[in-house]
Amino acid sequence: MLASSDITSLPMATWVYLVLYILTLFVHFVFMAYVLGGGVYLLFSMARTSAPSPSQGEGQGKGPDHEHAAESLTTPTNADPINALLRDWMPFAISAAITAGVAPLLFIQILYQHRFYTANLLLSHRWMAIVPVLIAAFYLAYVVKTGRFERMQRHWRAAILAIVAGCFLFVAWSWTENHLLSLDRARWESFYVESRWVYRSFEVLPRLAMWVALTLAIMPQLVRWQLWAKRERSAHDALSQANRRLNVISLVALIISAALLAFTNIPYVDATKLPGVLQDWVPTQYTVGGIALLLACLGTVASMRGSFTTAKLRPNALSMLALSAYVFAVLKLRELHRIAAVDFAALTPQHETAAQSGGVIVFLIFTLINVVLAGVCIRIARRALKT
Amino acid sequence: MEFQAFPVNEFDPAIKGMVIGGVGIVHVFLAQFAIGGGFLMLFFQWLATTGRNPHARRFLDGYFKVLVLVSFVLGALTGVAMWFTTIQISPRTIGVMVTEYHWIWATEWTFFCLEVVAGYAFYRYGKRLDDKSRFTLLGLYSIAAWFSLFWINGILSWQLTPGGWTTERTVWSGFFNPSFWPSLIFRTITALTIASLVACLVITTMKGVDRAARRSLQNHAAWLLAPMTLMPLLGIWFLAVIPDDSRSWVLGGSAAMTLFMGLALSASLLIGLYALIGLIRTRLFINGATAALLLALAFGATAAGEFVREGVRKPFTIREYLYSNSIRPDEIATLREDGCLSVDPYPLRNADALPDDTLRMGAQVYRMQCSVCHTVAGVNGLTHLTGTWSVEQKRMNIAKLQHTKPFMPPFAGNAAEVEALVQYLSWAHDADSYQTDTINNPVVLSEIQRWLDDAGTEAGIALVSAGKGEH
Repeated sequence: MLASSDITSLPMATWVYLVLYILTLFVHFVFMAYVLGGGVYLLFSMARTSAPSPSQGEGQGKGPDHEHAAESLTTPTNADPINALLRDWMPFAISAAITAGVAPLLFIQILYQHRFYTANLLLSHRWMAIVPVLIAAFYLAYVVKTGRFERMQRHWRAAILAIVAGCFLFVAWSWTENHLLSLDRARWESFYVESRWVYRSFEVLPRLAMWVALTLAIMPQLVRWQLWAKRERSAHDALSQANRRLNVISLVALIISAALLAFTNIPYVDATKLPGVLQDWVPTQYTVGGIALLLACLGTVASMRGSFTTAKLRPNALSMLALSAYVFAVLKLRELHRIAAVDFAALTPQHETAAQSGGVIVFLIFTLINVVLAGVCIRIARRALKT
Repeated sequence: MEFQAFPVNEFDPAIKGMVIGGVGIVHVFLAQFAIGGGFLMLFFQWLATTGRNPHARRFLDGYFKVLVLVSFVLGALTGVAMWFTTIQISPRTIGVMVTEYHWIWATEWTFFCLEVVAGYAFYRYGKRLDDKSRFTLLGLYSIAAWFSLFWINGILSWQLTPGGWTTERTVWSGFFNPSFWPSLIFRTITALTIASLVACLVITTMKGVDRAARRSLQNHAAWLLAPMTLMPLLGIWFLAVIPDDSRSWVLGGSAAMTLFMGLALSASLLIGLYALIGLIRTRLFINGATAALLLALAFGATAAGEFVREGVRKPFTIREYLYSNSIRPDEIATLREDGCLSVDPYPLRNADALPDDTLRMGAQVYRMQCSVCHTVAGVNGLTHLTGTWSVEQKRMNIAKLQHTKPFMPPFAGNAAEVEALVQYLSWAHDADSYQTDTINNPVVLSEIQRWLDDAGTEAGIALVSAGKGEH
């Protein structure tokens, strides 16, 4: 049998599926960061929110204008514009995260079919539980968006937000376990025979913590863009305060995430087990990831002070781009680690077989058409915003 | 032989078909609601724009909220659940489907994205938009939703009627298979029907509008029920293009299939007649209870129809390519030689509960070959189905499985595995009837081997078609 390290090049099919997997996973991760990071933020911001007075609750949630809590950014019970935005956009972000998640779910089935399916089957009911858990979180996110939520007693609001955040953490934990179990071939038989539902490994917690921290680094950057888009209709002081808070959260979470990365096995890729063509990729990811991390931190610090002005766009854009590059580097390292851990040489013929099936042209054509049509929808929505 | 084994989970006392069927029926119903809902809203937007119904716009905004809450959440997530459930039930089946049709699925995904963008744009900003913009958004949403049906329909219908794919192995020869068009048109009409019935129900909950207004809205919504008149023709077209044996199951060959087909037809007929006579011709107003009942009938028809669609594929999950137990026809001969357990690395769960190795072996054979459609003593339980058979009968009937029942796959193992399975089923039915050491009896094994050889490795349905059956 040919060892993975003996392959000097990868088939074009493997490249295509790998690139599409990482690209679509990145898009999914961005939306997921909004959902998970936002869920955690909302839960902790509850502690800082005062209970509503009877008069404040009146009228909330009764008219159509109250369906979108963030339209005015602040509400009587919630002066935090971040909180209002997150509550308002959470259902859409969940929908987008789920939809975006379909594509990497498709490509992973081509790249690592047997391992992915086996991990699904081994985790069994525990794995399937992510569906009802997500349904519960989704509906609760709609509850959180309503005016009725604002009128609830504090402990009810805390309970709902805790469930929402808990549901998303459960899904993240399940995916982390699924990934690690799919790589741990030696444990499969015993895991099955013992009918285990929980995969125990020293790697699970640091990995999960690292990803959660990374979502808390990304979410504030996304919310900052949303706030920036609304800067002309919002109070200057509230936005400046929110900007500072978001930058602090992002910076601290990014540093924690980077530190936690060292406690996972993601960066420790055994390059000798990689196909020859990928062996140089490991140091490249270290370099790119390191520089991106530094730039993301500097950009965040630079945009920490002041309000949302045009001048602040540069550091904002810098930190966002650098953060994206850092996430890409981590995702690529994670993939290199997986490629080194499995018998990748045995998988490439399956990729070539899959590539022989037709339909790629149709996919490309409709991708183009649908991107344009989605752009039309966004344009129409923007027009509505101006009215 | 390249055979990748997977760990097998059981859902006793339910069968796996109930699990995937339950999720599938809910998902199909919700997805069809979303698709039909798009067209219904487009129709109501047109009514509003042209002034044909002054309440259309108000209804539309409320209806869309229902659609978003039901379809965007439950519909989307049960779709993901379908993928995960299929992996749980038959990873090899979904593996083949993904390998062959991933670009089709990826294309469908681009339409999902458009559906979400158009849908949420309308949900958030629809009330502030002019009629033209609303019409554009709803049009894009409808097109995207319908195209998601278009793509998935090709994959699902391919499972039953792979058409030219069996020889050509190209995506399009499988995608545009013989049952593609009747399925697509039938499902489109079903989608319109469900959307219309949901609309009738939603209209009854509208506040601030009088009965006359509600009736006019319901009468307009009922127009989407009119295409139901084409359903009988489409049903005949569908039956005409499916394989002979599949058609024979629903036309009396299988009591369960015929019964469910009858239920689907009866429920559809009731809805159709009520729609044509009550809603379209005499323009009746229907209250919430009646609307809910009609919707429940539609759900029943969908459930029965999906049961039939899944059931008539027997014994395959992918016609002529993969049996229900995830064994390919071309693998049977090798598994008869080497034994099916030679490719299964997973030990038995609760092995200590079984007294000896023969029973453990039988349990493993059961797990690999039978558990996808049967339980031991629960739903479709083998101890019930074989309980009255003598040991001798069991040996022959299992060895010649595709002759015993043509919708069963051929047994894919060696003589010792047949005997182990026979003894396991006998023991599970009545521990006292268990005969030890028969697995080492050369006389028993040679007789089983003779039956296995007699049966051959061809599918039972092929034997029936060729008139080689022993019935």
